[in-house]
Amino acid sequence: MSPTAEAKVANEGAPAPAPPPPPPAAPGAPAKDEAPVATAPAGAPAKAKTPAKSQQIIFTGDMKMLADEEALTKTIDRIIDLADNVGGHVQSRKDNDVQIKVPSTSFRETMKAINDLGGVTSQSISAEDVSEEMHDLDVRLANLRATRTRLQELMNKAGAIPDVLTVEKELERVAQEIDKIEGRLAFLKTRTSESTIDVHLTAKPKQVQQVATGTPTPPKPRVLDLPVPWVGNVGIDPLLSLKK
Amino acid sequence: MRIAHIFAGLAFLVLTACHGGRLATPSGFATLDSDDAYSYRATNAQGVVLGVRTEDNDVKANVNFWADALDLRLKNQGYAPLAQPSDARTRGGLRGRQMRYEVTREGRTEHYWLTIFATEKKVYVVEAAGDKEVFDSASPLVESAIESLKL
Repeated sequence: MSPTAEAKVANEGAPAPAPPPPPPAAPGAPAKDEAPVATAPAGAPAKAKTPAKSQQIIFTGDMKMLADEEALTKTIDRIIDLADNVGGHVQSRKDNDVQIKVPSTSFRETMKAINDLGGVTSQSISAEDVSEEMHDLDVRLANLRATRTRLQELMNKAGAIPDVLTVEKELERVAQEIDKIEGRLAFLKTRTSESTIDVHLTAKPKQVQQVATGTPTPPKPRVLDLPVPWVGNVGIDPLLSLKK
Repeated sequence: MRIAHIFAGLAFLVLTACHGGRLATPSGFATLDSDDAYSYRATNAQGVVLGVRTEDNDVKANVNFWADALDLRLKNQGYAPLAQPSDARTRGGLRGRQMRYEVTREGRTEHYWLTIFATEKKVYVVEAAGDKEVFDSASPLVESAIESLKL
């Protein structure tokens, strides 16, 4: 596994920070059958030519939100709608937590849109750079494909059965290795092309609701605490209570 | 003769001790015995109740003070004013202040009138309340009864 760079931005209990800059465009890794060393001679190690390096980053966002208790479900639905609108989808939903997947190109836009719903109390963003790992895998894949081509040529030339068996065994090992690397590359490509956003919603406490609306209820006028007990008894209830 | 004077004195003291504001009971109302809180109370069959509290004016305040103090306290308890406080007057010429409120509780809307009179020594709090509909129909009788306050 190649080393990865991870950046994390967290902001607990303060106004949510601005979303990160947009992630780079979709992965530029070569397609499955697209050998980055097509010009290398068969059988030669394919180190001579490497694909142009582009940043492959897995973005993950985590947000905590407060919402009115009666608006929790509606807020979750709006978050899911935001994902749908950019071509994403809901990955999971449990109680007041929802996880959505969105195209990496829409990660920043979606984070901002969720922010705009209001009530975000904290958010963190992690960016895991897998460029180096993907580059290494690309190189190894190209080398293995070159090896496979060379082995196939050898097998065509091999005459003795023991030689054919040896080459065939080696071909099988190389094919397994190619499959393994292709699988890992496909996984990383999916992870870099789609970003994950976890949103955790919590019902607002009543006092927080007043602060959030910006129009706190003014305190009631001060009532004199007179040293005259009967004043506190004046009202409908004692009057209408006719039983002794 | 001397015994008669003693009895007369005792009767005067008893009458003085029971002294308090009273209203002329309107037609259709029944007068209830006075108790520690009310010097007068009456009710009609629909549950419109009149009451008079007679309290010592220990703090030597005028009618506006008592009206404001009670108004503030009632508003704090959720009583909604139906109108601005207005002047009131008994047939005997005593000036007072009247506040009218509406209270809704458990689906019932009730009206509550509070009329305050104050002398140097006493404060008279005339209360009237009942369910909105029956109170409104009895309100002319209530107004007349308030004006009939006798100290």
